Formats: sequence, C-alpha cells, structure tokens
Amino acid sequence: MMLASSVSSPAMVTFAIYLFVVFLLAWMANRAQQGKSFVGEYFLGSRNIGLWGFALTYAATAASGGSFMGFPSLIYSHGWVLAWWIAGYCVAPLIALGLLAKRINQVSRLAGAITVPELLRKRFGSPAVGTIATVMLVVFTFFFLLAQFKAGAKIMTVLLSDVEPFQQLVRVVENSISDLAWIGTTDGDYVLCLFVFALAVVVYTSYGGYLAVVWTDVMQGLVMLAGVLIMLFLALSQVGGLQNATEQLAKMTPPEFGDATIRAPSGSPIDLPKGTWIETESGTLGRLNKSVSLQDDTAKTVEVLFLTHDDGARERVADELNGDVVVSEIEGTRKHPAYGHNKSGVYVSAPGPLPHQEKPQQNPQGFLPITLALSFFVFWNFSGAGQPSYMVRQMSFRSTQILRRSIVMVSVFFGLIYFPLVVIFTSARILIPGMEINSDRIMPEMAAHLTTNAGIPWLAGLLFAAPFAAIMSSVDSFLLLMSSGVVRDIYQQSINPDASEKSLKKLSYATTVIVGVLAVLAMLNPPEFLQTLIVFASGGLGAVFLAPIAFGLYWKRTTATGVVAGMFTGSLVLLALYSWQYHLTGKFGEYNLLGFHPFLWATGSSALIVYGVSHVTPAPPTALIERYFGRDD
Amino acid sequence: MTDQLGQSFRQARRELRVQLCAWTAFAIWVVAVSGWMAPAAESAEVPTALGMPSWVVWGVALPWLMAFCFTVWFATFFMKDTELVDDFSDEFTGEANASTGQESPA
Repeated sequence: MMLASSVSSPAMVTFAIYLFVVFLLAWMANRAQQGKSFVGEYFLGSRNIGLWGFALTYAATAASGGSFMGFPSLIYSHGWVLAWWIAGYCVAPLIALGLLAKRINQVSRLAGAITVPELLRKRFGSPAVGTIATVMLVVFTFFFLLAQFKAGAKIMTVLLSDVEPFQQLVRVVENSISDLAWIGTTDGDYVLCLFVFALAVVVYTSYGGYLAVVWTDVMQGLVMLAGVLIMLFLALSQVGGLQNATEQLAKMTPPEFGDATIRAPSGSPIDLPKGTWIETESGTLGRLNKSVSLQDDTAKTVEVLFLTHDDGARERVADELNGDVVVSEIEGTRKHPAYGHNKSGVYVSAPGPLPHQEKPQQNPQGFLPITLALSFFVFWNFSGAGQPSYMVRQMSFRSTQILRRSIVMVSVFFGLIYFPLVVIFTSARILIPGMEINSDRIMPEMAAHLTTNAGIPWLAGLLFAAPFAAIMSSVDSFLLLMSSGVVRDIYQQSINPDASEKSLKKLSYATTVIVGVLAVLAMLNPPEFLQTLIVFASGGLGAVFLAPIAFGLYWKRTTATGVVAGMFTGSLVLLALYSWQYHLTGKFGEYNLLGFHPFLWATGSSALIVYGVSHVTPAPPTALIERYFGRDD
Repeated sequence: MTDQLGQSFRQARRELRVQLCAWTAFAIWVVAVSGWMAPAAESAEVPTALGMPSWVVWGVALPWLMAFCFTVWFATFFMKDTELVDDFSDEFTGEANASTGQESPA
C-alpha cells in the first residue's frame, strides 16, 4: 500500500533499541525466577508486586491495541464524538481497579488461588465452576488475542515499508500465498509481519513469565505516555493549534466510496498501488481503494474514496497526486454515509457520521446516540472490572497502600493518554486526508507523518514503539492468562495434581507457543475492524466474569449453581445479540437492542440470574462463608 | 483472624457503595450534558471553548477533571488500609483440600 509517509533508518534504530530492552527485561526476569516455586512465580510474581509494577502493568494492559490502533481509527472516522465515547475512563481507575481489587486480593490469598478460575473454584468449593470458568476464559481471551496480533502486524508493516530486503521478502511471500484459499487475498507484508510479531512476543512471554510481563509493562507504559505526549505537541503545532483544527473539522463532510474508470493515455504500463491520490476529470480528489495495473490505453474500473470537502486537502496531497492517468467517476455508484451525508459539523458534534451500510436502517441515528453513549460509560468501567487479566493483577499487589496509590497513578495515566489521543487524531483528519481506505493504520501513519514534517525522523521509532508497547503488553498478559488457565486450572488441578516443576514449566512454554500459532493461523485472513473484535472479546469476558466474581466477593449467599447459571447466561445473551446482528447485516458486529450495547444486556442478565438462582438453591456452608467473609456483622 | 476479616469485608463494602454512587453521578453528568449540548453543535460554525467544541469541555473534560479530584480524595482519605492475610503457608503448591472449600489448617 502506498503510504502517506515513510519511516527512516534512525527510526528503525530507535525501535530496535526498544525491542532489545524488552528482551533484556525478559531475560532478567527469567534469571530472577531461578530457584523459586515455578507456578506461583511464573503466573503471579509470588504476589509481591510494588507500586510502579502494579500501577503500570494494570494501565499498560488496559491500554491495548484497541487504545492505540482501533481507538485512533474510530476518532479519525467519526471525530470529536469519540471524546464522549471514551469519557467513562474518567472514573475507570475508581471502578475497574478499585471496585474489586481489595477483596480479590484478600480472597485469593485466603484461597491460595493464582488464577481467576481457581479463585472461583475455591471460593465456591466447586470444581465445576472452575472448569467452566477456564473454558470461557480461554475462548474469549483468544478472540482478544486475535485483535492484538492484527494490530501488532499492522504497525510493523508501516515500520518496515521502506526497507528493501523486507520488500523483497514480501514479494516472495505474496508469490507463495497468492493461490492459497484462506490467505490468498491478504497483503504479503501483513503476513510476514504477523509471523515476526508473533515470534517475538511468544518468545519473551514464555521465557520470562509474569515478572517479565510486569517489568516490560512498566517500561512500555512509560513509552506509551511519552509517545502520546510528544505526538500531542507535534500534532497541535503542525495543525496550527486546537482552535484552528476544530474550525477546519467543523467544515468537513464525510468522504464517499464510488467507482471510477481509470486509464493511462500514454499507453505505457503503470502500476498504481492502493492509496494513490488521483483527480477526476471533473476536479474531484480521490484515493484508490485497490491497487490497479494499467497495461495499455484500456480503461479499468476501480473503487475510489472521493473527498466531498476539499479545504486544504489539495494542498496537502499535491506532491502525491498522480497526474499520468485519466480518471472518470461512474455516475450513480457513490455509497453515501448512512448518517452525515453532506452535513457540516458532523465531525465536531454527536452522534457523529456513520459509514455507508449495505442494508441501511430506517432512521440511522449516527455513530453514537445517547443510549450507546450511556452503554459505553457502563462498558468501560464494568467490563474493565470484569476482565480476568486485570483480576489477576489485582491478586498480585503487596499491600492495600500500593492499591490506593496505584488508583491515583492509573487515573493520571488514563487522563494523559485517552483525552490527548482524541485531540491528536481529530487533527489527523486534517493532516492526513483520505485514510478511510485503511483507517486502522492511522496511528503509525500519523507517527511517521509528524516526525518527518518536524525533521526528527528518529523519534518515529519511539512513537511507533508506543502502540507496539500497548499491544505487546496486552498480548503477553493474555498469553500468560491462557497458559495459566491450561496449566494451573486444567492440568495441575484436574489431570495431574502431583506434576513436577519441570513438567509444568514445559507445559507452560508449550501452551504459550501453541496459542501463538493458533492466533497467527486465525489472523492470516483478518477481519476488517479491529475495535469490533476487541469490544466483543472484552464484552464477553466482562459478561461472563463480572457478576459471578462481584457477587462471590460481596454477597455471602451466592452459590456455585447461581454462578454457573450466571456465566452461561452472560455468554449466551452476548453471543445471541452478535449472532442476530450477523443474521441482519451479514457482518460481524453488535446488535444494540433498544439502543443499548449487548454488554449491558448480557451482564444485567447474568447478574439477575446469579442473584435469582442463588436465592432458590441451598445456602453455602457456614464454614465456607466464614473463611472468606469473617464472622457476621 | 475472622474478626479482622469481617471488619475488612465491611469496610470494603462501604467503599463499594461510595464508588457506585460516584460512578452514577459522573455517568449522569457526562451523558446528560453531552447528550444535551453535542447534537446542537452539528454546524459548520461550532461554538468552542479552549479550542475544543464547547460541549466537550462541559460534558467530558470538566467531569474528567472532577472525577480525578474525587479519585484522589477517595484513594487518599476515604479508602482504608487492610492487612492482607495469607491463610496457607504452602500457598502455591495447589493443595487438594482447598478445592473442596473445607477449612484448611492455617
């Protein structure tokens, strides 16, 4: 794909240094674990994580590929309304971190649990609860991993796009896969980067375990913060200030996809990569949505993204405009946005523009109607509280003093990451027009664009490292979560309780590798929208785990049967609403019943079922209650 | 130990109630103010404050700042420290009796 900007060698060096430090930390973590109990140390760092480790591993895991790839893509596509969409993060440290942490840590210590399924199994004295929780955790976590793998590979493609040996390898890969059924249409650079990314993250995670994940998360959290703040400064200075950016954005109308015929009048062969800027005979600017090869004077039809508002865009893309071809738009092929067609101000208001839909709704309400805004305010906090990857972290802090300070530290971190991202990527709409052809790549494109324009190309390496760090810090946590599910909750608890340290170690490494390989195979043909997959997976985990864990920690009367029923209800309601959307539109996405996100329906149903079923089933033994709650009030 | 645990549980429950009340207050603020002001900004001449659309300042940025202040107060002054007790001496060995939920020797 033709890029708006390219990455320099100094940037590659900066990025290589970052990767070197990640592997160095993994090696040091592995050394630090020598001579200690493998399972407790490898999966939970022996419950001895301090302030910086706990706060930043939590924050870095929360800020995943979704935050640095999917979220920027949404901001770019829909504008300032994403500030409303993400606003729930203002209280996320208080809720997602503070709501359960103290009790989870206490109960997991009393139970001797080092994984979430193990915590549930021991809290309710039911192996069935543990097994069901493990299966659900592995399934939904795998979906989350898939999205992260795609995001990691996408960043690498931009980073390596100008490296000639890499491009030679890409051509070899593309020739090799072009006839394969599953991946034939996938870009060769993406496939290659997917393999490299997977190899890197699987190696350092399986080698270093939880301690490596925490140490690298601390470093990666700081890299993210530095990257975002530098990008904010560069974006604001290059766009001419926030006021100017907002005023320009207010005039914009959404671009539209349509078909055009394209030919080379000279008759000489021309290859036009995806992303090439063209101008139609009537003077409309557009960007090719597919690569096209013109062999002679014969015209070809190709899909183009047409700009509908030209304020400043012509000047910005003047150097990239291909004037060697003649382009004629085919009348009647434009795909108008479902909401926002020819509307000024749509990028600075709510509900924000909605892309064209093959099966349009009767009264499309835009990207974020008020019911969905409320849904996401619930989602970011309570889905966050229900993520097993965060719960594991909440089991690992040393004291409640560390928890209290971490809540403040994470609050600062989220404030300095999420709100600035909205400012940066609303500015990106002005600085890099036409990225709707592949908006998931806007983050690395913007990093390269800003640093190239500022004359500090080496800095691009650090800015690339920020989203890469976000993705790696999530992937490593999720790999470890799945590995612990298989090793601790299935193998050690159910199959071989007397397994030796050596066999547990081997099985942990093998599980991490197998999960990585499966994720690569699944992502060889990636779905279009990264954020959809992430919201589905995190919503699923929250719907399955939040109500059972919260009730189990705060309500003595909760029973194992109630928890099992709640977990099944949460997952089934969520799957039903996604399936219904697929049935209606033929695309993977959520069905917002009465305008509310499926997570609300799934979690609400799960909570009701846990409560109702617990009431009608026999009360848990007094000894079990006293063990985890102390004596009566 | 169980007395201490009971007190710790009751304190955690008090903190939970305050957290949920705070979440509700900020949810109402953000959703109501932005929901009221943001649709009206759908115009080429958007009203701005601090360079942003003004609905973002009143409906997102200001509650975000207030939420941060509340979080600092909550974590610093309201939340109480609790001694975190490890009941099992062989915590990481996966003892079989723990899975039954029966009392285990400390």
